[in-house]
Amino acid sequence: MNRRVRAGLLLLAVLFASAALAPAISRHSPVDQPDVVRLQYAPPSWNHPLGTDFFSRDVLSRTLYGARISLSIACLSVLLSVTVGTMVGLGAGFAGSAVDAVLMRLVDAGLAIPRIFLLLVIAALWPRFSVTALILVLGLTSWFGTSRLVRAEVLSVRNREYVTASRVLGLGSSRIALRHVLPNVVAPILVAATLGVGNMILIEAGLSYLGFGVPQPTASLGNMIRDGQDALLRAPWVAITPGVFIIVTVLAFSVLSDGLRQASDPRSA
Amino acid sequence: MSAPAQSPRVSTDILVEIDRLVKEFPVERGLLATRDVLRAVNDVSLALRRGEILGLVGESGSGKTTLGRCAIRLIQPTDGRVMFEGTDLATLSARDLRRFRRRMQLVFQDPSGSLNPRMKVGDAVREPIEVHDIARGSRARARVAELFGEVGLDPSYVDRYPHELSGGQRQRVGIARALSVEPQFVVLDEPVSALDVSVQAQVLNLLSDLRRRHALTYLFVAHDLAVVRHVADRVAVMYLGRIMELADASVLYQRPSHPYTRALLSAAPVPDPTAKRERIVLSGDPPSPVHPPSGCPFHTRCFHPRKDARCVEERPELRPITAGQSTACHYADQW
Amino acid sequence: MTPLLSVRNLSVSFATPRGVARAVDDVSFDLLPGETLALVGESGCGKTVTALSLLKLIPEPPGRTDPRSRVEYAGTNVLALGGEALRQVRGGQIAMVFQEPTTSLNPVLTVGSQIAETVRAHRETDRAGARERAVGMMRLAGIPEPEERYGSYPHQLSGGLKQRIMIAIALSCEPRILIADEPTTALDVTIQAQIIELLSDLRKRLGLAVLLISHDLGLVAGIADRVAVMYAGRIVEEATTADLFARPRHPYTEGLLQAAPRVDRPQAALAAIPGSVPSATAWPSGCRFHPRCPHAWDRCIREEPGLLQAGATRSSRCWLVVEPERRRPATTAVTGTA
Repeated sequence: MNRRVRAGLLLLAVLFASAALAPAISRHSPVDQPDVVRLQYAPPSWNHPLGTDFFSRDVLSRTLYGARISLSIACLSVLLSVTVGTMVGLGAGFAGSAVDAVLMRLVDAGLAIPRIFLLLVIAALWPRFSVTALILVLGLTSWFGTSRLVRAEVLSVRNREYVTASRVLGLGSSRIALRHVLPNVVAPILVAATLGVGNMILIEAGLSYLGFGVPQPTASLGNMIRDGQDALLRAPWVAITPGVFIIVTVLAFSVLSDGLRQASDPRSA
Repeated sequence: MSAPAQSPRVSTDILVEIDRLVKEFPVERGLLATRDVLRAVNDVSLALRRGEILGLVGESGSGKTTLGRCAIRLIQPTDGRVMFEGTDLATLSARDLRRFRRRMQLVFQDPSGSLNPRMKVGDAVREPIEVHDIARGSRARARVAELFGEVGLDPSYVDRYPHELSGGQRQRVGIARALSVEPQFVVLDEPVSALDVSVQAQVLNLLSDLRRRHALTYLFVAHDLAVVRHVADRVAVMYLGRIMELADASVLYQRPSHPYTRALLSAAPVPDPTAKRERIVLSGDPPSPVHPPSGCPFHTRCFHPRKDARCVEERPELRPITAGQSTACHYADQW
Repeated sequence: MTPLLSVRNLSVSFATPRGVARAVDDVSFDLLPGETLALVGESGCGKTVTALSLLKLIPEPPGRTDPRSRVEYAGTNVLALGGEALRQVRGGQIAMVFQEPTTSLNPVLTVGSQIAETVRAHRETDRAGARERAVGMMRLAGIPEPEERYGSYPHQLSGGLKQRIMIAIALSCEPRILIADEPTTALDVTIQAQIIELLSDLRKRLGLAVLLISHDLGLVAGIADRVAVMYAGRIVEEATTADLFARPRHPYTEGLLQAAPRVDRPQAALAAIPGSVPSATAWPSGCRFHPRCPHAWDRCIREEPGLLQAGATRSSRCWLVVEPERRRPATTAVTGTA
């Protein structure tokens, strides 16, 4: 396996494991407010290794539980967006002409609207967001780019001789699309998806930071940063901890995606 | 159908009949997108006899590849038709055409490009067998092993990916895949031109072998006259979308009658420094097929001593010159 | 005659994921003034790597030229040159024409200016002088209406004309040696004939020595004076063209000649060479051709022959030269086609 892929996967394994094993790593509940008066903005200590926030909640716990939420939202919404984007791109690229024109104008329209603006409008119209709704909204507003990418790849693969060969052999269109075209466009999709997860974490963080994301008191990396910004000088650990977690995660995904790009050539195996 | 004049014996002898076939491609040029039409194949009629190898020879831009692909309706002709054992290929629905594909196959020039890089070569050969319901499961796998043996590949190679094979081995896979559906007619599109000489001979011998064993009919498209001489029963020479000469191979190579054929033969290198040969070097490049010359398409480069105004004005039709030889030249018999 | 170019013990290897590929292994040959020497072989035999390394055109890494290799030209080892001295040899003394004229020309510059650029790189001359010389070279290369074609871009020219431009560029600084790497492979037969005629004509008129790299025995038979056949990174046979084609002494050469279909006479069957070219990361033991050779015996598996003298002007890397009785009679090892 490629060195970057290995490094990226290893780093992600550590990050995901720490999020998944949050209860084992930290004894505190992420929402407990043990002593709002004496433990407000407590600096790192033995009991609270990364300090506490305004409500005396344990920052380590909140970061780990927040990571759970943030990573789940990012991964699931990317899964959704990649699935939709791949289906649309494959359909448009493979069917050609009319279908392609209609789908791609739709995508153009989608791409023309700034995503953050779109998200804000949706959030404004639909104020009580559940996490599921957030995943749906993020996933369903971010597949446009993927579908363009997939379509471009499909258009190039569609004219390869092995696809012509399958037509000569009398194979059906859906079989050709799924068995001969799709496997040969997976690599760029995978690269885009891994990069997309990192990006999605940032968007979710941005939304939560603006107050439209994961509702309080549930922790997410984004809303933790917002909590911390009021006391950036007094208690920097509140914002910096989730911030560092985000940076490391995005970095890990980008290393992985870079490695996948290199490794995706079957000849390099 | 329009064959009552022919004797029944001859008409059943014909497997594929190409009738006045035309294929045009639009070409867009420049910012203003003036639309031109490239006539890749221009009014070509050709009949393939059952069991023969018809060599289709020409330089790049002659339309030979396009004609080969029209012959199995991989591309739709603009005009004219292709009859396969009495069926007009143009009348087939998409579904029927898919089923019909079992009877006519194509082997590609580039064995690396025509195999799916992410599919094991055994699966590539097995897929059409299963799709066409020829065999399934273990019997399909047994059939793949049998096909591998037949094209001279070790059956243990079924689990390899294309990039793990050499060029010659990949071309054998391509041939096995084409044979997997048990076709009657195979278009071979430059099947050996991507291969080294030593391997090329292996594949040519294999193709001749398979033809005999399976009573196949080939349309052998190639630019290399030496290769075609070695395999073909008859040869058609194309230039700018038209057939210039059509003859039995033995006749064409001994007594070429079209000036273009003569030029091609004399230009083809021979691995023998002592060979005494006519030396004709054509001047200039072939004209663009978008704007073909008037009259005889070859007149701009022709060296025939009798060449005159008639060649510029009137296009010669393909006409019989001697037994087994037709030529599209006004002065083919006046050398 | 003293050789113009003398290649001694040239070895070039490449680092690949599958190990070290010894693409060219201890290759030595001489190029005499005014002669055409052909380096013939199939893909992967090392002929192109040999040609490129003569001008130090192999990227290092992944390539590596063995320090014992020498390419002697006019008393200096080209492989030891660098900077300005190397630049003067490249193009000025030894020029090169490649297989693919389309990718060898810069698509955004006019072809005339590309010739003029080469002229100015090697000669003290002003713009007008360079232009004049470029037009002259285009005329020499048989390009019709050179003044008008000067301002053409590569995509406006046919493949044959582009190859003529490449030849004009190569010859614009009056080199003494022209390396032509598969100069006609990308061209149609009738155009190929034109380019070959041009090359042999120019060679006579300019007194050039030509090193022709080709896979095409027919082409070589037509224009080379001497031939060196390469297989698996080594020269396996070297002879005058007449000798080589009349009586090949190496089984590989013999096999190649029998495997090539001929346009000028009917043949019953093609005798294919069994198997395929081995990988450069794992050449066979002993004689590298032994797994495909019809005559091989145990000595061939154990011990690799040197280039053995097989006559006054020829040599062959085959034990049959010293043990001719080992030759097996022509077998019926013909596959297919009765």
